[in-house]
Amino acid sequence: MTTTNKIDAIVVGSGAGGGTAARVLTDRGWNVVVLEKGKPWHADDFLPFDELHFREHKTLIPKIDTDPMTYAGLDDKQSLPSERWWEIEMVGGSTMVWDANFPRYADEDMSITQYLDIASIPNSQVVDMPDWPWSYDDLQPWFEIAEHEWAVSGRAGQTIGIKGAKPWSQERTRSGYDYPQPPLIDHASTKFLMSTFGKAGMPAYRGPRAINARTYDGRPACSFCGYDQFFACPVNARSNSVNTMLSRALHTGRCDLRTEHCVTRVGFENGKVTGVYYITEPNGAEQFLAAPRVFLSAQPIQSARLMLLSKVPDPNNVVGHYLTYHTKANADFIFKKRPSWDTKSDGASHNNIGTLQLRDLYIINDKKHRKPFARDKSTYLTKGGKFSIYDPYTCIPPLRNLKGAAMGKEKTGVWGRDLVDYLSEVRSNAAVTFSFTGDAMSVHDNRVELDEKKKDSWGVPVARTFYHHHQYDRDLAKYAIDRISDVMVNRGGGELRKYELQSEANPGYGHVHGCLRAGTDRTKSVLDPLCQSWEVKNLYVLDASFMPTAGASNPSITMIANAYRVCRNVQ
Amino acid sequence: MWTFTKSDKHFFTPDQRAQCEALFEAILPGSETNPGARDADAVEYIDSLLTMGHETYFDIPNLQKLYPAGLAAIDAASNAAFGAGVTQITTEQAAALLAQMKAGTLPGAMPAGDQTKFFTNVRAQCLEGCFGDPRWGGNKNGVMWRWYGWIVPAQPFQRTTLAPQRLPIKGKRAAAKKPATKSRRPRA
Repeated sequence: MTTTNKIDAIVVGSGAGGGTAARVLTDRGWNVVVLEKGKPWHADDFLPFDELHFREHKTLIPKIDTDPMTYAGLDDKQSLPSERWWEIEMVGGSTMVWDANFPRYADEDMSITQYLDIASIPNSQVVDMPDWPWSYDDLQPWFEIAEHEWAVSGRAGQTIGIKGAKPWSQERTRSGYDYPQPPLIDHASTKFLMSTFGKAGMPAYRGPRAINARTYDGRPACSFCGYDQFFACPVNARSNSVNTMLSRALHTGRCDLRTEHCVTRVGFENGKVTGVYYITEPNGAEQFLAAPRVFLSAQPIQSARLMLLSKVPDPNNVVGHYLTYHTKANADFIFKKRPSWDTKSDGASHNNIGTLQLRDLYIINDKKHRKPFARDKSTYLTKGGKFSIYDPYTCIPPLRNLKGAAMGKEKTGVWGRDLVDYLSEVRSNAAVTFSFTGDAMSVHDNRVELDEKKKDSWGVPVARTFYHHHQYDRDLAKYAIDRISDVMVNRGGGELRKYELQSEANPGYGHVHGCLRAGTDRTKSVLDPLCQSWEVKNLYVLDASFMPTAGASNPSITMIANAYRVCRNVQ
Repeated sequence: MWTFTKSDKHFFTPDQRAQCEALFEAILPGSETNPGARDADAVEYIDSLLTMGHETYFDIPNLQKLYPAGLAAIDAASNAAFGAGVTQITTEQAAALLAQMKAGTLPGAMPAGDQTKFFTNVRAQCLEGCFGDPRWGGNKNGVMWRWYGWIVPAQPFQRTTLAPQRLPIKGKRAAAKKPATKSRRPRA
């Protein structure tokens, strides 16, 4: 696209949301300029594999000393520099280093009021959990397009529910629908885990991944190199915004991707967007680019920061508020009677990608529906979350695994004899690690502000976050981990090793959403149901900041499906 | 693509290097059946890393101050407690000092917060020197990867037979049948 062409839209950010916007809008015949703060990278830039260079030395994430965000701490008074693990500043954004878990958010996430018993929640007066302004059915066609264009592997309609219940899938699909690729090959632990959890009435299933199970869309199947999350895929087997969306957008000739353009604020007049201001060098002169529509997709905290820097009117004190991080928890188990899941000796690849998911605790108590969820009357918790299941030995590179290694609840960060014991154990015995993603209570005080004391390397004030995980989140993490621990120890013969629960403080790790909520009531939301600012017309937000509540799955596919919906419907 | 060639420069004095090596061995002690930090020459990794700058790892300028201070503090505490420097005491005694360092209770002038920070880094960089790619100086001859089983099958460790070897690049069975001809792994 030449710069003399009329610009129909500016997209800020080139990750999952921004890339999708560029793809859909250019497909509609629009001329789109994508402004990306980072530089372009080529797949070869991520070779040779090196855990020290790419992960331990944090080469791919913004540097914490020069480009942090800050956390106000539990007393809400601090300004502590915090790592931005999921705000990758490069073309393609965080899709370049993600794990590409692609489960859909479900009815239970979007119609949340039906699945919560607010009165039973401690300190419930601070909790605000509205229904989403659209339903799962509204997103259904957009999920399907997104799953095909982002090349998802998996199997639709896998059964979950209590033993003996009618086959039923939470990620509801129309009859006959399936993902474009079959699931990735099973990890060696799959049979054991499916059998053990199946007997416990908690069926595990092969989760959808945006990773090629076979050659697809001109890209090869996964090589199982062992370097997945926090590494970029050097062979393009894992989908990202560049190899799915931007490649299509650029191919139209109507997409102009401008890198190392740092957007500093959005321009607007008389309640209508006029364009964006940006700089191309640190502390450089602000330049203006005019366009009739602007789409922000810079990751939730950064998009909120841009709204605040732009001084978008906020008559109801909601901009930046209701920030949510998923409730996280982890547990590892070792099985002394089983040999390691290592499959090298048969000539197959050493490494694998765990694809098993466990959704049985998505709903813990369901008082209003007759759906096949187990009920547990011993707890007040109703809405829960899901687990991703991996092997710490063959799915995670050694440094990441060993730095977090534990030999029980009390022995974390092992060293000395404990470390030798851990190493001796994990190299010869089967191990399993569970990563829990749970819903989180939305609270007005959890928020993003501008940090007036700290500027980033571009000379712009950084985002300052305030966050306390609600009691519900912490109770949920413990409940969920203890439930699977019971199955692994008492039915599977495992011994607990790692046991990490959600703490009240969250300086910024995990799936992030909220802070620019979409809603039907303009006094309680920042965006209308088409994710357009209530106060500035033609200013749209596409990253997960629109999510009114956290939901309980990896947010990518839901956010992407929504970007398709918005971009096909904007005028 | 990125390329990396380790320089021959070192940061530590010979005394500091020996002290750091003793601490690393206490973090991952070797035995007749498992390689330790000394077998991996993990200290070479940090001794080399500290000559590099902010562009390699943002924390290097801080570590350049922390390591000499931490090593001096633990050596002084070792002299006070055991009548010998940290290179002259047993691995168990060094571990006892590190445990105090971790808790921030090591006698001496080093502030408690710095002690904990030093311990955290000693543990981190010991692991990095043991399990990182050998191109960075540690994990000598891929000794840790071969024992742990990263990329290649886990192999038994026998100290008496530890001789410089190249990393085997295929599974045991494949290697036995015919020599490997190609690999996408960089050679150690």
